[in-house]
Amino acid sequence: MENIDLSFFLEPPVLDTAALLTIEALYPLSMVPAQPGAYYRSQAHPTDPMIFGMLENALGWHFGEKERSEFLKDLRKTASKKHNKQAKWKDSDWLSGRSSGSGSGFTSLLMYHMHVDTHWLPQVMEYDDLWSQHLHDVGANFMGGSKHYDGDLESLINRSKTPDTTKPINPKTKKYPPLIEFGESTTHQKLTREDATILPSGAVHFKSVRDGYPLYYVSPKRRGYVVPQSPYRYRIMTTLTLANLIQIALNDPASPLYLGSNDGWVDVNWEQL
Amino acid sequence: MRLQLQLTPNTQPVPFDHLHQLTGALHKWLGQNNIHDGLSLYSFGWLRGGKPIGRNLYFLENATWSISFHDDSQAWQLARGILKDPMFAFGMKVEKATEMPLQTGFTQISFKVDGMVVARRKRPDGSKEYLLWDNPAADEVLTGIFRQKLTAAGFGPEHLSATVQFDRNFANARTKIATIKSIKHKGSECPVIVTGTPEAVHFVQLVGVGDLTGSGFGALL
Repeated sequence: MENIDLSFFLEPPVLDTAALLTIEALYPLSMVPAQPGAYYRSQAHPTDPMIFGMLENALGWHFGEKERSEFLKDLRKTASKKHNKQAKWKDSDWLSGRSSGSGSGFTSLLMYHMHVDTHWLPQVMEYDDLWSQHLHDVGANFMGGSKHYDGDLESLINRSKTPDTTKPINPKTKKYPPLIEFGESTTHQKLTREDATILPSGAVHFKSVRDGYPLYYVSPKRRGYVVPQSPYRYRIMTTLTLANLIQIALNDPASPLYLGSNDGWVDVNWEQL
Repeated sequence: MRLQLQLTPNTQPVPFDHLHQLTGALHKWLGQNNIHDGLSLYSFGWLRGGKPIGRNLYFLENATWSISFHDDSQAWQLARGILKDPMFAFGMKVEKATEMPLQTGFTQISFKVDGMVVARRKRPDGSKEYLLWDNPAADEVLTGIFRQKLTAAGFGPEHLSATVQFDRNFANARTKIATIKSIKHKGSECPVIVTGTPEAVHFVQLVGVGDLTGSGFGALL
């Protein structure tokens, strides 16, 4: 990894530099601020944490949650040593670490040194589409979620779909139970995969066949998209150091810039005022 | 393009007669321009969300303010001006500007008025007579100005039969007086019925009706 300069964080957040940030969508955007249920509803406009996240991508700060939290802790500790004797900063959010964060748990490194001051918001066209959500499930859902599995499980899976007419009909479902029933209770046998594949009927623990399924599977979800009719424009207040860092980063971004889902590519312009 | 600005609460009292501050802010944000000369192909309404307390208005939460331009490039000029310096007046600041949708595809709509409509005609002695909502002659003035604006914006003859008239079936129509730099203007708070091609009806929502739209009169909701 290249050396990443986070020293801007050690400077007090005196937001005395204004910049105009213009974001033009190159593709429909789906900006979902919090982990939803079955429907991923997009907001019409990006939230402030989404804007910060996009700028962090330009800066090349693509850190995981744990790494990010450690960086913040270390940076705060160093900044505190230097500034916590000054009354102005002693109880500040910057040194105390108070943060509202985003609905998805993202904590930006920029949040204390950048403020989205004035928002200029375009009209948007909205539509819903199906989106392929990639999942890694350690529970029993993988069986229903994935249509792919190892070929030697074929006959076993067929038996799990075949009604066992020797047994009574289930009064609730009004159907015969299957020859093979998968589950995770104590009555479900934990077998080796080889033994499971030859079992004619019975209750089988799903873990017996877990390694015959891919680790990831795809689930279709309804997802909202927006097409902005003109660019988003923002007045940003920040420190001079950070403004300069962002100017350099946006001239040659470290990674593609996007808002919301990672196919929501955008073109971004930054102009110091 | 129609914009709705959201402003922060005031920190200084806002006098009732503050229309010239609205015009001042608009021209500050637009920078050097000549849109104040001649026919105004833009309009703006009055500050909304205030409560009268004593001799002043107070916007305890937010204020909203609608501004519309026929020429989108002027709206972009305004965007740049606002984002450079979002301060308005009375300690208020623009925190958000949202592009708003307009009614499209209609050949006749009754529009409510954002503020009041001023209709004037010259008397033989050169002075100006204010025509109010209950005077049918006001409709001729409103229609005449509208057609002049359509012509100035380059609309062809098929659009020039458009008309504007006060909606006299509206039960709560009333007259109002607003002062700009100690000049009192008399106007009507009464919806107007606009009839014309869909393009003309779209256009009127941006440029407003009647006299002095560049000074904060005649904007439509």
